[in-house]
Amino acid sequence: MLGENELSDLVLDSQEILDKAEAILIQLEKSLSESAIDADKVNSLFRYFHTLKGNAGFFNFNVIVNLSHSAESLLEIVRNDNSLLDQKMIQLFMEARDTLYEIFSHLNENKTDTMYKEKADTLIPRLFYIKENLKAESSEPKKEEPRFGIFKKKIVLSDAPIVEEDNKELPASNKTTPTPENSDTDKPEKPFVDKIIQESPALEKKTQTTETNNGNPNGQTTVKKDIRIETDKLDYLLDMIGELVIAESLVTQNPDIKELDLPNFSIQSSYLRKVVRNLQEVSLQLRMITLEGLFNKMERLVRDLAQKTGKKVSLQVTGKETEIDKNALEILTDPLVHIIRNCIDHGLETGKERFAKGKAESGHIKIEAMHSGNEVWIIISDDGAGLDRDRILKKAMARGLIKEGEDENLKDERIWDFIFQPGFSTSDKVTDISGRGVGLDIVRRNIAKINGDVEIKTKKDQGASFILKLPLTIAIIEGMVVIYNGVFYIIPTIDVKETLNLAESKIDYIDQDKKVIRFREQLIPVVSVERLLNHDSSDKDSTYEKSLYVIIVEYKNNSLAIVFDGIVGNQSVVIKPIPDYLKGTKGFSGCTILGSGNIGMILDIRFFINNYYKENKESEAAHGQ
Amino acid sequence: MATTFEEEQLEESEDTMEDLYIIFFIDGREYGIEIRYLIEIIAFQPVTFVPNLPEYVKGVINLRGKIIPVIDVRLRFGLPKIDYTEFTCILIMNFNNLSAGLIVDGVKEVLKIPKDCIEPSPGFEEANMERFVDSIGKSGDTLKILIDLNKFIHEKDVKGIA
Amino acid sequence: MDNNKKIKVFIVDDQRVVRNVIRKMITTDPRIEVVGEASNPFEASELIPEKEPDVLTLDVEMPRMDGVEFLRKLMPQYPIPVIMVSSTTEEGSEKAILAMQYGAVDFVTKPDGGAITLESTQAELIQKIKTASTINIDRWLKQLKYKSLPLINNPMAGKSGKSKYNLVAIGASTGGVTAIRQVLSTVPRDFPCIVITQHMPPGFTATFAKGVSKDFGLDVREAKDQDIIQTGRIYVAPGDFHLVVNKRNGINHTVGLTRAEKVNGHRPSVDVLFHSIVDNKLAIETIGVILTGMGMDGAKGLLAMREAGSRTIGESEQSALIYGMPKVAYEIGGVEEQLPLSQMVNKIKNYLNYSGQYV
Repeated sequence: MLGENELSDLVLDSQEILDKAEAILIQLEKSLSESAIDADKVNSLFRYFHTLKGNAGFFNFNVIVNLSHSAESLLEIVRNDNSLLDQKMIQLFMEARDTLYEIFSHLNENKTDTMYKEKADTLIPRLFYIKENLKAESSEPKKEEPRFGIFKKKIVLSDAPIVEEDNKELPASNKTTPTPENSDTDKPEKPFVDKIIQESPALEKKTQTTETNNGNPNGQTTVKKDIRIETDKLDYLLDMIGELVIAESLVTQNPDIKELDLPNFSIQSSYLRKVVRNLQEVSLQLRMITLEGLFNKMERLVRDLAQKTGKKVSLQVTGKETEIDKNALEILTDPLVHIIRNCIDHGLETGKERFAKGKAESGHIKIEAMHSGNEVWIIISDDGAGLDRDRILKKAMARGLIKEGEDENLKDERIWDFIFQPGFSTSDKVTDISGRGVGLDIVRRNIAKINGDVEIKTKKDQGASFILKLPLTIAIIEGMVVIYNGVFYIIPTIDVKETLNLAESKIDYIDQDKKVIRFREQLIPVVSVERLLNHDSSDKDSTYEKSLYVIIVEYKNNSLAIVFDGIVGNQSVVIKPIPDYLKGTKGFSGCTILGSGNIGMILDIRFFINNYYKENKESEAAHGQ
Repeated sequence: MATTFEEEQLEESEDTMEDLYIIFFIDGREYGIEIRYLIEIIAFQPVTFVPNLPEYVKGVINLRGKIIPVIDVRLRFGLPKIDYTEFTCILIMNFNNLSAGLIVDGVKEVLKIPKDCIEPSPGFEEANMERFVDSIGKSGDTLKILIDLNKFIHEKDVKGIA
Repeated sequence: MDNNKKIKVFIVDDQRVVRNVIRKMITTDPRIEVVGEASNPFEASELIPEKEPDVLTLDVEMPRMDGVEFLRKLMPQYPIPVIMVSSTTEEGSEKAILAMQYGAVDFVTKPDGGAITLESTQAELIQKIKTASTINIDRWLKQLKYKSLPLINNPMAGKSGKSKYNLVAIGASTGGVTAIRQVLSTVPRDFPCIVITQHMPPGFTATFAKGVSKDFGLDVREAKDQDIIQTGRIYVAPGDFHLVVNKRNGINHTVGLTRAEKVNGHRPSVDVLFHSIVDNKLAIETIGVILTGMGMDGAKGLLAMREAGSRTIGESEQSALIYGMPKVAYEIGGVEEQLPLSQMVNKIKNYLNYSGQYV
């Protein structure tokens, strides 16, 4: 009777609960060393395991039921006496939670949890054992005392009973309830509703409340109304809106009417454009979600790694409520993980080393997120050893990435760049945490995928900061539409440095193969798109006589001048992914449909520049001239 | 577990698509591909060239807002190129969530070829085409060469794509 | 109730998984349709008047407003038969039983990975929904209103005189929680032994016994095998066990528990208790009582008791939440006298030759 739909609902809901449980466990663990343990948190935790058990019970998933039950039973005792909570217990709860999480992540395929029985059996007796010991120690179980948390009742003079566990704003007994003006206007059909509201003045009608305190300075919990939507449906909606934007252009910029003078039409189509753009902005907002989930995972990671390496780490996280595009979030996970691993494994020194350097024993890591102009910045900083310039240089030379003698003039940014090379690692030992330094090139790659950038700031022995700069949205870019050889291309505006008219600027030849153009004291290599895509392209030897323009693009101080036959103009362009079939071709970061109905390929300028300079290092010497 | 209503619908429709093939012409020969991959057939329309692709991938087209890569089947078979005529069509296929258009000389019909009328291929001389052939279907007196769409799309060429 | 119309059910539970499962379970019966759902009492309070359901299923343990609290607010304003859905924890069972006092007509338990399976819950819930849809809820609530808050028993309320009756046997099902409580609320401490078989799941019976014990200051306990039948003791059959009377062991009879097969679909079964009284020749010193409930469990047993010499009382239609079991018992001749609950204890005291004030 219970089918796949019910199962997948169970999995989704349970995973959500387990995520919340993890966040609470981490907070509880932190608060162990500090003052009071938050009784509400313990209660929530109890409730989570209880709910997990109850829901899984419908499906006869006995391993889940038993494991949740053993955690719940222990928590039942702890919630009556919070002081019983200790590190060992938290660790055990964590393990139980992790096991449950693992079970749920495979539940849709496995359709059963029996294969985890053994694993659960290593945890259940331990939980049971602690519980039994505590029960034996504690005195007579308290009978009449009100339980904390969930059903906390305040004596209120009116008949208002309800207490919100999260809403600390609850009416105290002397708060006045609103005057019975409501009762006169009571609609006969809904007396019940009004009555409830009347008697619970501080409570708004909520469809769902989130438990987080949304960074509200007064510490009041703001209530977000939310609703569950399948992400597939949302993605489809957003795709359709993207289509609508294009369709609007296809109509309003249609070649058929281009020559016609249609004043009324122009006015109305402007209106249409405005409406569509608004809709697009709203849809872009829909794609935004907060970094909270991701940061919570990072907190867990830091905690685990700190334990594993035996280093003391204090973590500060700010900006959880910062929002980014949903798709960007998925791509960010691996890079963040690798940066943090690197940080704890290589960046932070051991307690002894830190002591010797006069630092506090605990290494300090800070994860921040913030909006900066049109971008979102995520900064991971530590107060560890920082990047060692000399070591990196040595390693780079050893791997042939730079030649002898080149190193003196290299700017710091260039040197830090090396650590993003695949397989690069200056660590003598390979730990299983960060492997062979293979991780950081994922950072570069993934961030590039979403048109973002990575910057490093570091000072030896003081620490390092990784600054990830991400565009607010990855669905639209500003671009320059150009033509070469009958094909439309789009160059992201932020990569464009200058546009030159070939009637005025001349292309010079260094030698037969290399063409350059003089621009502001520099000689910049001149190429065509086809040449960039394919070194053996037919226009390799071309003099580019037909081309009228050269667009100078720049990335990290490297420039190229790309020839084009024509420039159409600047516009916002909806990024459509490259069709799967063509995924193998490098050099395009997407494509789009222009107003005329033509298809334009979006050029991955950074890829071209990096590629070109990797192979043509001699051109760096040209900069000196 | 009893199937849901939607699952039953799907099963039904897949059943009725079984054994159906779309039959098209290439260089005078008749070929067939299973119809369940066919999304639609459109008249030939100008293709936007995309540089740096294998010769047989002519480029992409804009199909109502969706960008679809287009393969010239003749070229993929290693046959000489011809001018497109009024009969030239593009078969829009969807295979494992991957969309592609196939340029064919012309479309003949939709034909049911039951499994017992299908035989293994005897082998063709043209190596380029041979590797895409799945089997031969008999229909009345005629033979149709049935193409393995998976191989057709994915098999690497000298300058492979995927 | 029009037999052709579907029973309209509204589901309240904070867990989406549970709402989905309940919906799936009960709509397998063609007579039941789900007209609405809510994940919290606020939503429910808006939707219920809109959808006008016939029966409500209500989760006992919701995080924001307790199911029982919601029930308390709901009943006076929108009387509707409510079936509580509870887990088998102590807290859950306490609340479920408390809910009965506030007007809920019955409860079901969620599958617990053990004896309570998805299928058993499904069958139970469907049956209880159907039963609930026949209840005149206004009348029931009116009756409840006149049932006072639990009194601590007045030890001076009558002294038992000499009588030949040493045992009172009570059987009940749906609605029994409230009915039994009402009966016991006026029972003095030195009453003859009372044995009770109430259809209830395991765990709940212990909670129920504890609750009654606490509220009325009586010695009410979940029966254990070999417990002695003696004055002042009240035994409740544990869920999933049959309660029986054993052969005389020396001077006293004891109660026993068996795991024999379900009878009339129930374990504990009232028939089993009643028959064991007859088999052990105790009928002549026993007063048999059958209270509210669906079905016919206990009817034949009560008849057997009456024929073997017991005094027998059946709850009248006037006071019974479900006039099912008492009806069958009456119709086959097993009930000597039909009485509303309020008069029952007095009648029993009469048989017991009670002196002193009748409460």
